[in-house]
Amino acid sequence: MSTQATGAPSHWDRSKSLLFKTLAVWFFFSFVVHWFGDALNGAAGSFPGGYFMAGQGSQIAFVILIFWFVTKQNKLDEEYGVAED
Amino acid sequence: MKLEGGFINNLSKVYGIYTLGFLGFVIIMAILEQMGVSAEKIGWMFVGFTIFIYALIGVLSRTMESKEYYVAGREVPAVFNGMATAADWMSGASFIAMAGGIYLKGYPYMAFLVGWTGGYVLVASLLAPYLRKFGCYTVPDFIGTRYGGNLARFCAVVILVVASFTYVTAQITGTGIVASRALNIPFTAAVWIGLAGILFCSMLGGMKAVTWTQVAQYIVLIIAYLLPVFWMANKFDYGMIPQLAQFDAVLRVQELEALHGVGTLMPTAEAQAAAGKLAALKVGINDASDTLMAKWKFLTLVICMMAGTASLPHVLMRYFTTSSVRAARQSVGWSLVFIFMLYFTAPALATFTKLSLLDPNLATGIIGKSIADVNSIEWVQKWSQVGFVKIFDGNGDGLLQINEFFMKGDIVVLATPEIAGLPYVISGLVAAGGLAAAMSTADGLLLAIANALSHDLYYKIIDPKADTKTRLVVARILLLAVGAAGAFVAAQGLTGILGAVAWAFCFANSGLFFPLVLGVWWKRANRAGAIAGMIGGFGAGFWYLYMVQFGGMTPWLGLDGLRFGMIGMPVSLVLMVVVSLATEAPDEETMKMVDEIRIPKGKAVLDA
Repeated sequence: MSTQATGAPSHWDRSKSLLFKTLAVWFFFSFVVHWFGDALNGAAGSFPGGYFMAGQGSQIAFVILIFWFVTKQNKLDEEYGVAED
Repeated sequence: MKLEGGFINNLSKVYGIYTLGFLGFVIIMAILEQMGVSAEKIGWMFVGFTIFIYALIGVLSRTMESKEYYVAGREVPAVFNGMATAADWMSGASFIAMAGGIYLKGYPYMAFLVGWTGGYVLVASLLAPYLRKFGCYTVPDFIGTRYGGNLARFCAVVILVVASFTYVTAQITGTGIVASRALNIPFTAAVWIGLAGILFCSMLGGMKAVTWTQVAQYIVLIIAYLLPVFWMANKFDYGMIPQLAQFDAVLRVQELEALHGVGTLMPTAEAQAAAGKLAALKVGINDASDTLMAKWKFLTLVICMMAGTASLPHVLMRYFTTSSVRAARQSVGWSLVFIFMLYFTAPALATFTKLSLLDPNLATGIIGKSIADVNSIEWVQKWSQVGFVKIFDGNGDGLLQINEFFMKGDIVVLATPEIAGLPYVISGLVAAGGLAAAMSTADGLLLAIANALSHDLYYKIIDPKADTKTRLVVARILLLAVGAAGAFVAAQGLTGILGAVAWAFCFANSGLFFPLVLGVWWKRANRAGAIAGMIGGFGAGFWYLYMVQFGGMTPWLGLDGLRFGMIGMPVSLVLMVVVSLATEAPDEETMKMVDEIRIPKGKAVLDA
């Protein structure tokens, strides 16, 4: 495949960059969002955003993130011809 | 039953029939209840019937092949492995204690929800596919082969045993709590009965049997968790789908909490002394604090639970059973889908239970009512008798205030059907679900321990010439011994369910997280570094836990016994990197091996 010419990123380089993207999203939903849990809850009587993110929102994000990662990684493996037969 | 194309090709059919059969059983029980069969007999039938089914699956899956015993023949499809992992993962703590934790401790407790789900992102991206390609039977097998040498393998075995054993005693305790309640027998006897059931599932068929019982257990536990919540939400008109309807309920609960003085009206010392270990409601459902310390505690708990998820061997080894690397990856996603089903329901359950108890407009509300009336309610009497509920009229006004009602968190799940006035058959179902959750996790853990001892310690270190038959006999004897030891410790009733669970996560992440992850992602990591990382990280974590828990040391930066991985992990990382760099790089062969596990194509490293 043309992408494998010298100088082009290798399968592992691209796997690593996919990992970093995945971990960036993971970091956001694991830590950043909950740091602002109190702010997301808003004033009394408004939608409890902090509660939602801790109780459901982050979990939904993680499910989507894993399937996104898996699809991307599978495509990457096929592109470089290293997928299983 | 004769199946064309064999068991594996008919899984959907088999488990579809099983699910319908189970629902049919629940309906029959409901009819029997209407006909006047006693609650106790229905409890016995629920527990007896489900344990019988699991044991039957266990016996049918018996095997004398090591590949089937250790990794279920590597032919478990991604979705079913996801279900088995979910049952393996969701312990008595998730099922019995989680909603109660949210009920009593509110927002800070939800760090567990975030940690126990986000950890799967790490499993999927950092570890599972690579370990599957490696083709090992156990987690120490990976450490031992990647880094080479018996010492590295031995260290991994020790950490695995300590972490998993801490965890398994909590699970056997959970089995005992549920069985003793449902069957009305003493706790100690219930512990041993539970163990017998657990061993029946795993003894004869190892991982193969545990896989197929775990799928069956997942189906029972998820039905048992969801059905009462849906029923309650619809009965009280909270909304059709409780998980979505809970947000309005949260706002209402916050109003009620303010009304009843939650957070301001604290129990008196005298009342608390009378209530012993039971707790009054002291924090609101959604008090996300804006202090730095509260945020730090939330995030550190999240980190510890996530890294622990990615280093607990009984979870990782589930991904050794899939048919391919691709399936292993996919399977992590499915695991989280099935776990999510329960976890996003837990806060809803906590919220609705709170609403039921706190809302004076509801028939179920007890706070603010007269104590004489509350004491005559059936579920209050029943759960007071077994020491799960305590009412103490501190100010002697004859009315029940929020600081006069004490409870054990577990009743949020166990007693909710009764609190909401659902038929007893639902309580029986919940008991069966709690038992399934605790048993499935105990099975996975016992197998992880016994396999590490039989495969890594006995076969790889002590007697490499042992034939398959001897190895499998040794594996089973160890399983019995470890199970008995676990039940013995559990019968002493030393720790609550959750304390021990959080410890297990921190033991695992202190000792194993970095050696596992860097084994895949950093080629330069070598034997000396891994050994230093394991011993140093685990040792530091252990020491810190000991000092905080028993040595009277003030926790550093609020890092209590639940968070000692925050001490162990950095020590492990630093030692591993420094020692690796200070010593010789791994040899050519190891480098090649790492290259090999980084691509899915080709044979598993250990098969080659």
